[in-house]
Amino acid sequence: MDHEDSLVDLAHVPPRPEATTGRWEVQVRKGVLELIILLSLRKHERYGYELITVVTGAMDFELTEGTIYPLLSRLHKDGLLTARWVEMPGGVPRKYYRLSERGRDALAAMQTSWIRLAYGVQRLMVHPGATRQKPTVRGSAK
Amino acid sequence: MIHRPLSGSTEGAVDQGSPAGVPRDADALRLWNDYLDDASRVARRLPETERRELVLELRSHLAESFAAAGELGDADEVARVRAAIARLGSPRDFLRPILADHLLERGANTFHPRLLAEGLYHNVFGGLKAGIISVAFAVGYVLIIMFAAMALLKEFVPNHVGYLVYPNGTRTFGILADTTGAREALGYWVVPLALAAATVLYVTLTLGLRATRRFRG
Repeated sequence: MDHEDSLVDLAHVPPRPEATTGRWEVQVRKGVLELIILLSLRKHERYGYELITVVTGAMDFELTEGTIYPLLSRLHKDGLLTARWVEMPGGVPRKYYRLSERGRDALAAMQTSWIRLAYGVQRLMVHPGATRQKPTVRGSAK
Repeated sequence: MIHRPLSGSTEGAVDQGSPAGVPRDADALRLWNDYLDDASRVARRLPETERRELVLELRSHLAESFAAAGELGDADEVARVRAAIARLGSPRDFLRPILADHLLERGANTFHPRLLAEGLYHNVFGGLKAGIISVAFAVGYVLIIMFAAMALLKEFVPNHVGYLVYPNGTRTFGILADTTGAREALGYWVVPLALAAATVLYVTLTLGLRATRRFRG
């Protein structure tokens, strides 16, 4: 095993949020993170560290910061984001991400399904016996 | 698809923020480089450009995180690098989704067993673990059913159930249709033995399942 030869001291890593928040919340956050990232990029071009600051600031999220990079990489590969490197005065360049046209379309679709989902859950919370109402607004008419 | 690193210009309406740099302290710099070397090693299976760009991006992240801690007045560079690394997490954990995706894609395209195995390995630790553990437990529970069936069937087909010894030396424990020439060596001891085996296996598996569920992240 080459785990041992890692010289990085991780002994002081704070307990992972999973330990206290429960599995359900962890799963929900994982699913929603993608939407949150796209939302944060709606108006601004942002780099990874900045995105994390925005996400954790807006959502009261505890996040292992590294988890955002595989997600950004996948969104980029799927063509929802474009990326470019920008040289910085300090010498360490930043990789900026921006929403692509395709990303905007995806975000619009995700927002619709999020609102539907949230509305359904909310209704069940308020009226536990509620059944689905007759559809009034449908995304696609048959 | 992959943008050539470092080719961007500073044009555009980008808020430059404060300059983020590399630590000057030798110990801090060593921690920093070790972390990035580690990340690079974890990502060694990715295509070269992708790996290099990923490491550059993590380096950029460390620089921003390091600078942000400096703005809060923390002068100890080693502590700042440590904190930045701790918050970023272990590459071995957070890079798994990228590695799994890439290895499985390449493995599936080339039929390369090692890539597939590695990809599955990363997937196992990235979420599929529960699925594979479940399959293992399902097999275990089928064994339990078989033991229980042995205990039940001994009464009805005594010569087909138990520890069968064949003239050629072959020995089989279980339920068999063709027992020509075989001698059943255990007799009705099969019943308590099979029941005990089923009970032990059941308790062990269930305790094991409980343990895996407790530690699942």
